[in-house]
Amino acid sequence: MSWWDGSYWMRLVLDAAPVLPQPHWLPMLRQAGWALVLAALVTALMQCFDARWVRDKGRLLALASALWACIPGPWGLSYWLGLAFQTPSLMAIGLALLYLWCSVVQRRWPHSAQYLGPASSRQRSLAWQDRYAFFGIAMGWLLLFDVFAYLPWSLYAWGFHPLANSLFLLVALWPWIATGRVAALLQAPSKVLLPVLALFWVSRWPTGNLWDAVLDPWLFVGLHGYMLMRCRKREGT
Amino acid sequence: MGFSFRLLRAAAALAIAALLCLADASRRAPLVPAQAAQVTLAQSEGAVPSAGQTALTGGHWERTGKGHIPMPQSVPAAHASALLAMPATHPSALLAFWFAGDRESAPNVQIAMSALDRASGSWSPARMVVDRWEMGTQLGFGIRRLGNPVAWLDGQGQVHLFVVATGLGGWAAGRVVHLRQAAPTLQAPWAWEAVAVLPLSWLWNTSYLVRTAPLPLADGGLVLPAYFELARKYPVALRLDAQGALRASAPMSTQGQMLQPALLALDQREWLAFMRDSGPAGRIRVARTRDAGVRWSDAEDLPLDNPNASVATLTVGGQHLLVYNPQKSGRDRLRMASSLDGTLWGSMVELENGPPGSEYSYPAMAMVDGEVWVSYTDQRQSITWQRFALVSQAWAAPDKGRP
Repeated sequence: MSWWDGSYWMRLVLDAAPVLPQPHWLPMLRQAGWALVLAALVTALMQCFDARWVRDKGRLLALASALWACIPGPWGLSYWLGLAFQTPSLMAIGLALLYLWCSVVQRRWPHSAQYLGPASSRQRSLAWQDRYAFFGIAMGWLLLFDVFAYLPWSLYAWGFHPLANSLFLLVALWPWIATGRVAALLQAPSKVLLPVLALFWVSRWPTGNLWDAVLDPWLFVGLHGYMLMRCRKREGT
Repeated sequence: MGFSFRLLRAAAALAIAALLCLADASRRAPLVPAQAAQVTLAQSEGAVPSAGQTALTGGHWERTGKGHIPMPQSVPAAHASALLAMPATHPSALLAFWFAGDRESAPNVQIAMSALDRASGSWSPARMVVDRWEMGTQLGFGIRRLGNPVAWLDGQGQVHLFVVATGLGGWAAGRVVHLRQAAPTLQAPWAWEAVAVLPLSWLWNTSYLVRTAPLPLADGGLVLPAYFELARKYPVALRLDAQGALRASAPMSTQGQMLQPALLALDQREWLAFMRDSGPAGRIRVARTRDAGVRWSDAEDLPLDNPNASVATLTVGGQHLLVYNPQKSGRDRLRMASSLDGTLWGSMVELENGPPGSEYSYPAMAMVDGEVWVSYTDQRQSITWQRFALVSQAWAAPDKGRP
C-alpha cells in the first residue's frame, strides 16, 4: 500500500464496518440520561410559573424525578422510559445539562440578555439556533421517511459510517466557517454538538449510530415546538 | 477578501473532517464481501441430479417419524418454533426454541426450549430459558412481551438467540434482542446473557422483528432476515459478524406488504428470499440478490398459494426445500415442496391436512445426521415435529400451475 494510493483510502472509508458501543455502561448511561432530561423538563415546566415558591419547589421536584430515574430495575423511571423510548440522544442529554447548568447553577435563563450579552450578539446566537433547529427538523423528517422505507437509500444505516461523524463535524463548525469567530462555537448548539461528537467518537453511545446520538425522535418533536415558539415571537414583534 | 477567508476556513474544516474520517475508518474492521457458506452435508447424500437430468424437483423424501416436542408443564399455548442443528460432537443433535405461555402476547410468555438427545433420539423435557423480567434486568429497561425466537450457532459452538421483545405497544413495537449462551451451571444448564438490542431504526428502535432462520456466511457470520411492520411491512437483511454484532443492513423490498423473509442460497452470491404477503395476492413473494445481499430487487412471485403465513426453507446439497401453507386462506394444510432452481417447485409431502379452522403454521427446518427435521405450530397449543430421510432420486416433472 502506498500513502498516495487513493483507492486504498477510498476502500478504507467505504468498506469500514460499524463500531458498536460496549454494552456494559449502557444501563448507567440510560439512567443518567433520563435523569438529566427529566430534571431539565421539570425545571423548564416550573419556570413557566411566576410564583417563587413554585420555582423553589420545582427544583426539589426536578431532583426527585432525577433520583427516581436513577433507581435501577422496575422501580426506576428509566426502566419504563427505556421500554418505550430506549435512551435519549447524547444531544438531548447535553442540552438538558446545559439548561440545568444555566438555570439552576448560574440561576439565569439560557436565552436571557444577561447570558447572551448585548442585543446584537443575542440576535446572532438565536439566528444560529434557528438554522440548527431547521436542519434538525429537516433531517428528522428524512429519517422518518427512511423508517417507513420511503427513501431509495437507508439514511439511518448511513449513521454507522465514518463519513457521518466527519460531516457532522462540519455542521458543528459551520458558525466558525461562516463568521470566522471562534466564539461562535461557544454558543449553543455548537457548544453542545462538538462535545457530543467527541463523546460519540470515543464511546459510540448509545447505539453506535450517529443519528441516535445527535437527534432522537423526542428532540425532533421538541425542535418543532421551538420553531413554533420562535415564529410566534417573530409575529409578536 | 471575506469570501476567500471563508473558503480558507471551509478548506481547513474539510481537512480536519477528512483526517477524522480516516482515523475513524482505520480503527474499524473492513467489511469484506459476503458469501453464503457452502452446505456440504447433503452433497454426499447424492441429492444433486446427474448430467442429462432436468433440474426439476429433486429426490424423494420419506417420513421417518412424527411427534410432539414436550411442552412446559401447565402451559397451554405455543407458537413460532425455531430449530438449530448442533455439531456432531454435541450430545444434543437438535435444539428447538419457541415461545410459550397462556396465549400469544400474554404477559407470562417466555422462550421455551427442548433438546433432542443424540444417543436416545428423545426430546428432553421443555424448560423456560428466557423470561422478559430477567432480560429487562440485564438490559436495564423493561420488556413488555416476548415473541419469535431465532437461533444461531457460532464458530465456537456458542448458541445465540435473537428474540422479539416488544416495547410500548403490540408486535409493531417489537425490537430484536441478541442473547448469547452463558456459562452453564448445575441449576441452569442453558443460561443466557442479553448482549444488546440490535440498533435497526431511528424511531426508538421499534417495529423490527425476526422469525425465520439465518443464512450462515463463509466468514463465520450470518445474514439474519428481519422485517419492519409498523403500518408498512418490508423485509430487511441484516449482516452480522462471527460474534453476532451488526455489520450492515439492506432492505430487500420496499413494496410495503412483505414480511418474514426466508432465505435460500442458490450459490455463494445469489440468494432468494421468500416472504408472506399481507396484501390480497395470496402468494409467496420473492426478492433476489446477485451480489450476496448488497442490493435486493423484487422477483416474480412463486406460483404457490399462501394465506399470509410464514414459510421455511432449507437447502440440502443441490436441492431446495420449502414448507408452506398451500392455500389462499386458512392454515389447516401444511406442505413440503422441493426445487432445484428455487423457481420451479414440485410438491413432495403433505405434512398436515386438518379440518377447516385448524392451524398448522410457522414451520422451521433443520438438517441433522442426513435427515430433514420440520417443526411447526400445532393448533397454537404445541409444537409438532416430523422427520424425513432421502430414500431415492425421483426427478419428477413439476406441476407448474399447481404444485
